[in-house]
Amino acid sequence: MTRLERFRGYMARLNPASSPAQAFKEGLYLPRPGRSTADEISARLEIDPTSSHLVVGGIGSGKTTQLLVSRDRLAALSDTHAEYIDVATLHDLARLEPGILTVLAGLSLSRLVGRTKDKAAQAAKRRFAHWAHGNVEWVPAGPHDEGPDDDSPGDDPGLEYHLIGGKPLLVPPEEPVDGEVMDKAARLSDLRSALGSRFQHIIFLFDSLDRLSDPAVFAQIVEQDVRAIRATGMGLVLVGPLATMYGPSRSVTDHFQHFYPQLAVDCRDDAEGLSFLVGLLRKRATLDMLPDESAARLARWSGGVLRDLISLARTAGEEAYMRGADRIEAEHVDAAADAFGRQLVFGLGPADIDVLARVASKGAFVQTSDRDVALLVTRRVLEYRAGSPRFAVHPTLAPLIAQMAPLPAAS
Amino acid sequence: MSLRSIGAQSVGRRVALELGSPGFLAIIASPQARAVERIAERLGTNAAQLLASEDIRAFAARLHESPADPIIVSGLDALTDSAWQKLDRQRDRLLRDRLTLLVLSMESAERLSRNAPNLASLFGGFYQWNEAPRAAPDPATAEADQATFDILAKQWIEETQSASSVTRKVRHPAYQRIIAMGERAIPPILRDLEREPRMWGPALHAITGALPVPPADAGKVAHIARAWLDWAKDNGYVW
Repeated sequence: MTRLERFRGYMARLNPASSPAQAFKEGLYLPRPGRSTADEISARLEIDPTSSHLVVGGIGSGKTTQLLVSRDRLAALSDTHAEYIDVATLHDLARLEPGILTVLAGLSLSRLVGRTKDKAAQAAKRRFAHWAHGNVEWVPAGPHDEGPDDDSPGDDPGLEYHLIGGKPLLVPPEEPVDGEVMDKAARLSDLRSALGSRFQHIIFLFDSLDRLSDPAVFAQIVEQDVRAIRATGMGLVLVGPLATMYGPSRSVTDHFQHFYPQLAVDCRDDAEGLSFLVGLLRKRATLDMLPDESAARLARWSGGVLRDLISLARTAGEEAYMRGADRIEAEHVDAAADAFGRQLVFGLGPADIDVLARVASKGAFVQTSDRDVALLVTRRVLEYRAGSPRFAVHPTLAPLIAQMAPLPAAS
Repeated sequence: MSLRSIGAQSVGRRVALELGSPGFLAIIASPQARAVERIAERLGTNAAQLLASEDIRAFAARLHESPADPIIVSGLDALTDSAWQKLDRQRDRLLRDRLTLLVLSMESAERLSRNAPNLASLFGGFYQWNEAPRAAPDPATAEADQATFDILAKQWIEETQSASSVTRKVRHPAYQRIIAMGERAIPPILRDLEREPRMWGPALHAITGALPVPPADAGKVAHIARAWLDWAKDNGYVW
């Protein structure tokens, strides 16, 4: 095998853009140390199949992988059907509105029901197809009644009308679910009943909702669809935007029985975390290409963000190849980290740099604005909860921030 | 904040490494640099060019229609913040099983980072296109630099031609004075390297910090000279 072929093989196995489903299929999955989010979700749904779960995490933290692992574990149960739905591939998230998750769930169950003699299920399938894809109906043309409504007061000035009654005193503690969404949920129940003999429990796992940049849209979906689907007695797992972990959107999590922050793996204070990250690389790269020391160095630079780990390993491979080396050494890893950090600098304003400098020096981070939350969403700031809970600037960005905003030496 | 620089030569090598596998390469270039044309010229018939559009569906369809490896995407400067946000939400549509090369301006790269952090996380880093000629020194300075270099180089050659130790050659005071000239020594060194492949690698490395010579070429004087000349072209040196 030529040098170029060796490096091409290495690059092909390290693709940050590859789908988690594909990586999972190729046996590249490695369980996270301790109890993973997938372990917790599947265990809880096994004993309470109607429960609801929210997973949030930063970019490239492995949320989809955890959902897929949960799906596979739940699907292994004979009485349970677990349906993974990647919303972004089926609908434009910019046009997400209440009712859409219920329709996607309905379409999935329609496929699962297949041909049926159950009249209610047949009708539900038709309704979901119409809701999803629209429908055209011919209606007979007839005379239009354009006269005044018989019940309306009309405009006779000689008549007087008195309004009797008043506003209701009782106000429901939360907004009722919209009638149209409830109608869809009722049809979902019809499909669920038709599947009753095959599956006692049905669980939906909705992915990609973390891409919603506006947490208010996510909150609206939760208020409507999540409540409507839960009312049908089916289990639910959602991936949501990281912003729901912080600030005013935090109350959305109350609608779920279980909440899982999927954070970066701590490889500074947790030896198991470091060996997990090295293990992930070892699944993709042999020792002769990527010695253990280089793998550990990559893990530290990644800050425990899984996609960044893969990205850095790939760039380090490029550096090694371009410099004529036969394997990836520390200098290639450091060059990759430098390039990665410089990319993270893009789009930062002076106020962001000040915030990052403070996080770097103090390890604490109080989110007081949307821009602060954006630093977490874009993983310039990482939060660790395992081991010693703390916030940190992404390791590849920290040295650059130190250059850009040198803090006065502590007196 | 400087980025890794890349020229047509290096693009060619990087593309060769990533041929047949999916991925993104983001190159920042000003529209005046004609980077797209230079890259397309360097990559030849395997590469195809594609103009980005705000209609993500149509853009993605055209991206997937083409079997080219790689596709060079330009026109990204026309994308607004909301178009980048849309690309971020629908990034799966952009993923293809081959290399996609994005050429964009600094402003677009910032817009991408701000509005499409998920998409940006799929890149290993941005490269800065660097083929624009560096500012050449005025003729009088260039002439003086050449004269200084000629004197020092002549002394170094004469006094070390019988020496076999690389260390002794590099530590020679004349060689060290050439290094001390800094960037001003580079054009005369490159001119000399073009005429005759001499041991200028350590001096060029000391001045620029670059290491363009593969270890496999260690000791191959002609190969080393070629690697440095290619590197200099890629990095915009004129001599």
